[in-house]
Amino acid sequence: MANDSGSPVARRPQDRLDDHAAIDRLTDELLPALVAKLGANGLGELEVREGTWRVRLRMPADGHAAGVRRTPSGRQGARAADGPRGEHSRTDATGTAAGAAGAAGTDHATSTPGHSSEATSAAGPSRVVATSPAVGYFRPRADLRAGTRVRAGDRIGSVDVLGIGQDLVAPADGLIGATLVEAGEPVEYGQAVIVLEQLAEPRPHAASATAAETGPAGNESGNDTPADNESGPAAAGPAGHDGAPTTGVA
Amino acid sequence: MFDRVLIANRGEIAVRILRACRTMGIGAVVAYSEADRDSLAAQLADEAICIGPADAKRSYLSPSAIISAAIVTGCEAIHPGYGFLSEDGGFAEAVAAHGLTFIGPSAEVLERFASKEASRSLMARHGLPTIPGSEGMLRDDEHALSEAARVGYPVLIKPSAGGGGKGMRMVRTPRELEASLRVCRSEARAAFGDDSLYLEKWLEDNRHVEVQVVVDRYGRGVHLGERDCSVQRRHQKIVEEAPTPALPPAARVELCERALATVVAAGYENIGTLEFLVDRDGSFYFIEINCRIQVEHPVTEMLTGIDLVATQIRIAAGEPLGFGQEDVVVRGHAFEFRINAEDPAHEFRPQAGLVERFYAPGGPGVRMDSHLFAGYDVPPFYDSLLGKLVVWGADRPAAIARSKAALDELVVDGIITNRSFHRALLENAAFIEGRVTTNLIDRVGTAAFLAAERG
Repeated sequence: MANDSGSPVARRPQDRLDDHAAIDRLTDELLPALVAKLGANGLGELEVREGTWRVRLRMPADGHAAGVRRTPSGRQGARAADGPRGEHSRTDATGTAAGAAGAAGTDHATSTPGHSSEATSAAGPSRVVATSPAVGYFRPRADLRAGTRVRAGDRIGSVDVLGIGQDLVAPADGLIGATLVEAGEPVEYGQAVIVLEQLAEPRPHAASATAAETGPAGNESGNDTPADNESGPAAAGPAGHDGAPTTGVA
Repeated sequence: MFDRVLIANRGEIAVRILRACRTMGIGAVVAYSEADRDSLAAQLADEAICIGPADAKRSYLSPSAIISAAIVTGCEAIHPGYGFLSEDGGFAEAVAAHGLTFIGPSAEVLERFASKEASRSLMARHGLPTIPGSEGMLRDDEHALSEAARVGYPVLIKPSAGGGGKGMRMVRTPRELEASLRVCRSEARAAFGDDSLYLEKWLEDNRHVEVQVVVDRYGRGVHLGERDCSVQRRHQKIVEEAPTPALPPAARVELCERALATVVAAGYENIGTLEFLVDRDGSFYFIEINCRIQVEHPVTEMLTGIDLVATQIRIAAGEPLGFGQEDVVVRGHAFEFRINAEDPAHEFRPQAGLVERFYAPGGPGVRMDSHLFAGYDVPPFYDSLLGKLVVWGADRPAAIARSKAALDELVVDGIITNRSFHRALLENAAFIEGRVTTNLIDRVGTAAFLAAERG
């Protein structure tokens, strides 16, 4: 699509930094909301622009196979998208949202079409880890116990940053496993906090948003600014950050 | 004195601050972004804490992340280094509001000197000569054009916030001015989050000379001499030295004493640098004050033997200065060469990547402040400074001779640096004779400058 901006190596660090910031913002804040919207109302395609970057999501005819474009150098973390999908269409949307954000958020080289890889379903049970979104003190959610079933995007705790709670969210559907940090203990950004055991049995791939592409936009106008962004940052949460620790461990 | 200090910066200055803490018996906690997980500062620290992703806006520029990191690690003070939040009055205020100490001037002092334009008029009121310029900030293009006409071309467009040459441009005609305003605004907005600009008359053939001052909380101050930073490319300092070859000793003392008297009268505190332009006749004009430790501070440390970072920490902790002007003895001559990850053969394009080998030069009078090590991966997200080679000699020729040997000894493999530029500069007649002015390199062009003046 529109990404023909040239090799990132030739660009100034400030430009690259701006690009990374733009991608982070898109993947953290917009992508989950978009995917949710796409799943919820059955639109065929959505596109959002910010600065020179845009994200376009397209629902393929067969409503199958979530694919996220990323470069070969993109680090692990795409497997946050791997786990079995949720149980019905509503959670499918959020589940994919977190997954897509996890994958796109790890893409720290400028996305280039043509170098894409498909996120595929992992077989068998696996674990993902919810990582801290900030530096602060960990507060667990009181009603959660080991074995509680949560869905991707659910708030499973918070991190107290100067008195303000930042949500710790489940990066994928699963069962609450080990909590690695005591309540009230300090955590750093990206620190593994809660293990999620992913459900082993395969689930049907119901309507799921697909093809998420990021790349610098051309100059054409056009906008589809997401009106409701409420599931955005929450759904993206830790999964969207650079996220080494969100990698599924089989 | 503090037991534990959070270092909220990266690269060589994080290592420098850590060393000051060590010598003072202070525990050093390094706050780092995900891109700096393997940095030298994080490895050397008593404790290191990840505060956010590579994007500086969510790590080194995030007040809440930094203050929260200081609290959870039990630090009593935060050292901001240079750049990032080092001169941010709002940050200093937030730090104080959480019961912590900001190592630098107080929020109130930072606010007073926050705008370059405001500090220029403040210093002018206290008697320092300033360069003619626009009245206040430029409201729009029309205002800029009329102010430029009044001041007289050429003029220098300058952003009110920040430094490092971003958003700065010298223009010679109204047409150039109109064309440059938008670029400068967007550069300033991107770099500092503030796009207010003002104009200064451009002095041809000027030298950049700055005065290092140290003032404690009780209004007692000394100056530590001046530094000459005239070797610049696109308003970015490349080589600094002291004393300045531009002024005779008596004029240097006069400049330093007037600078000190003015900042003390204006209520400044902690360490700071007053920057001046010196014209062909030796007249000096105040341009701005930097309320932080500066990249080039080791030049002054080499001449005076005073640890500026330790002094900064002691003043922030409320200690009196403890020495007077008569105790400050400036000896010899020193240079600092900024070793940048830049390719001089390709317009100084920034480089990033794996450092395969790194050997720092040594010997008498040679100091290398750097965060490099073999196996270090230079991330592309931040500025290109890899380290500073600082060389002292009994006089300028001796310092030049040592500098040549030291630069030849420096090995950085795997990533292109500007070392070859420095080495060629040391053979350049204008440099050897101490005649370099701030716009010389840009005017002649880097390649031509080095080729034509060599030998």
